[in-house]
Amino acid sequence: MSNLVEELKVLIIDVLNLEDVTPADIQADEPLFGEGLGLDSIDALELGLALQKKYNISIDAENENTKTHFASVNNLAKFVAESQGA
Amino acid sequence: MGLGSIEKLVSEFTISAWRAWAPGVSDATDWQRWRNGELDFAEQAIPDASFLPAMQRRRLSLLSKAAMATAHPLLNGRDMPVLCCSVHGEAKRTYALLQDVAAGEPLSPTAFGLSVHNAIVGQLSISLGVHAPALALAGGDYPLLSGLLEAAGMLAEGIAGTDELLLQFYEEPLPELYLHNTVSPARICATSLLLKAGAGSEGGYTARLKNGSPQAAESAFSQPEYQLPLIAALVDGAGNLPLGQGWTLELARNEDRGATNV
Repeated sequence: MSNLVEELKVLIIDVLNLEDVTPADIQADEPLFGEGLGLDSIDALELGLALQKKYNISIDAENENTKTHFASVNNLAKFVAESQGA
Repeated sequence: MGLGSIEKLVSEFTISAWRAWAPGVSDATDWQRWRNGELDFAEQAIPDASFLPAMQRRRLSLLSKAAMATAHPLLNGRDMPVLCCSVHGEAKRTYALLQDVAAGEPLSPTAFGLSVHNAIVGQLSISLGVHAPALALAGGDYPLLSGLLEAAGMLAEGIAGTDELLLQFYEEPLPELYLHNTVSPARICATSLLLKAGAGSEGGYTARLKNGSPQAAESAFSQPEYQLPLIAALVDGAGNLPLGQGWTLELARNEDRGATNV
């Protein structure tokens, strides 16, 4: 799981072009959107697309749980692990 | 100059200040040295957009960074209409998206949002706090003519209650596939002009748009470096540029009566 957390941090930095941000700067339990890392709605779409491409998981924008899945890197890692295990 | 008599003065305004960026040639001293033949363009360079927070800067292409770098010192925190004129705009982003479409790949939402012709002016208005109207203009064959005529009209109307506006031109090299149909700009180039209604101000340049000239201008599709003659005239402090369709721009540096530089 900790491997997946690190992998996701690198993915976030790469696909969202986070200049000046290193994986160590991202706290796995801090909010990704709004406060914390400060990502916006376009980032959410971009990240969703990247997860779809890399892990082959589909994300339902209408699903209320999606918000929870995207709340932090830890949540994302849990979501990816569960989706792949399923 | 006997033919000059048939030219009609249509509009007169002031260019208070200008900035231009190309790789390796980016400030007033550089452009003067370029004009003297002492400095050539570099292969590549990254326009300095460090005045923007990293989270805003990260989505900017080199082209939009160049546009932003020339606009920022002229706006200097002020709010005024912005008019951005480009023949090709963010052609590279659009081309990359089209390749994804052709390959049946899902499209990047960020690239999609930033590929439209008004993407740069939109980002500029958000990043630099412009609330006045911000317009993107397709340059067509004669981008200098399109931009200057539109700007002259906006100044004459006093859009947004101000007598100033920022006019920009910018281009970047095109993907190879397009080269069957047009000549690619050799490098990124962006020019920003701070315009003020009326002539006779202290400092800056008086710009006169005239119509009825027999001088022909080359299309931007065959001569994509259309900004360079304008920059050369600004460096020289005088010039007479054919803009296309019988229009010319006459530039003359105003006398600076010891006014402090802005």
